[in-house]
Amino acid sequence: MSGNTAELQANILFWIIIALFAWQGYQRGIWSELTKLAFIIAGFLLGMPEYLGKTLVKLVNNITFAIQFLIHGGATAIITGNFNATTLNKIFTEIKRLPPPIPKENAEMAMFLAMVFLILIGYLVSTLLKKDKMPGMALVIGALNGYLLSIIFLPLLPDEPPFTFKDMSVTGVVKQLGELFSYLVELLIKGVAGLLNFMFDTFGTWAIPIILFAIVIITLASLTRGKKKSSASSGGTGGGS
Amino acid sequence: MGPFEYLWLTVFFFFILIAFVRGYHRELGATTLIFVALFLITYFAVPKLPTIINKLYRETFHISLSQRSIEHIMASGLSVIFIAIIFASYAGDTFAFKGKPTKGFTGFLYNLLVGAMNGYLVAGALWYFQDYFHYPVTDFHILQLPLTTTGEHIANFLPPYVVPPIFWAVLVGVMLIFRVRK
Repeated sequence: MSGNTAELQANILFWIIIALFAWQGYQRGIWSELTKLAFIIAGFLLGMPEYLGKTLVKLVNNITFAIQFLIHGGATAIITGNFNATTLNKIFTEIKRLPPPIPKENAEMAMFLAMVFLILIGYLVSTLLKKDKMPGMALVIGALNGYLLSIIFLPLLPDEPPFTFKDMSVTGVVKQLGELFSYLVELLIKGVAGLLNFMFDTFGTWAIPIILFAIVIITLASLTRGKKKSSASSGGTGGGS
Repeated sequence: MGPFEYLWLTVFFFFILIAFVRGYHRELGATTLIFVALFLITYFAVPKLPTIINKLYRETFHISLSQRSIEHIMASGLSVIFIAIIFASYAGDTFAFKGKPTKGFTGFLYNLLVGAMNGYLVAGALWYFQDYFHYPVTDFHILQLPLTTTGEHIANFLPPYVVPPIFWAVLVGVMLIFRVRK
């Protein structure tokens, strides 16, 4: 019974997502949807170990390895031309002791986050593009985006429905809505905590400067549209407390 | 008074509420001044000021200040200066950023992010002034030690401990570029 309910919910969700993205495509225009499509495909390829996922992890680890080489005396060796075996051996012994930024146990999480990150970037970039003509074509590509996102993310949903309404009386529904709200809050907290844990595992305390930098760039970049209108009302030194 | 982190959390949530009221484009102006303040404090004030204060005091009164007195002066002085800068960044004509803030859910998310960032920076910096100078405020019995386990854990992630001083300057540079671009 619960398995069927989950399947039904997933099917309903599948069509809702496609419809939502198609509608969004119709509103935003073709270039916006094509941009989103490109980022979704790139994200999908990076998120799958069998395509570019493993390459991405290897690339990040190797680049970090190269940077560590330069930091631990490699840069000095290159500048001075001192490439004797003892120096190089010492540098490699030192950097071999350091853990890779993405260890094997975190590799899948890293690929998944890279995929989500690219999809989000695609969404943000698409909002910066102007609305154009060909709404019909945009609707189709929007639906395609919805379809791709559904086949990427829907299999991640649990087999059992996480929440079902059992008691349909007024007090029962109110109580269950409260439970649903706390379930969603708990899910959100778990998600944020998982993301932060991953960031700290990967980047150590550098996770915080990276997060601050990302917030600053994303929010500042979002202010570019409607500049003229706003500069008159809130820009400059305007906008009191 | 209760655990230290409760005060930290109160200030943190307060800034999130402010961000929702003012909008993130205005809050980013305050963020710029917070970055400037943190750069000046962590790059110049914290490493150099204790020696200068001690030297000046010795020159004037021909006696050295005790370590605890310096800690009191530094923690209180930096907190007052920092709060004054924050106040200035919110009072009167503010250093708002040009552009129309995003509306809807994305706008809500941006307000939340910028509010959380400002809350973390302000509450974290004020906590840092106490932590770095060995909690002088406890001498007045306003807050009590020891920290709870959670408090100790959070104290490891206070902004000046995890962000190198020069990084604040980089962030200020980035924000100024966005501020002046056409």
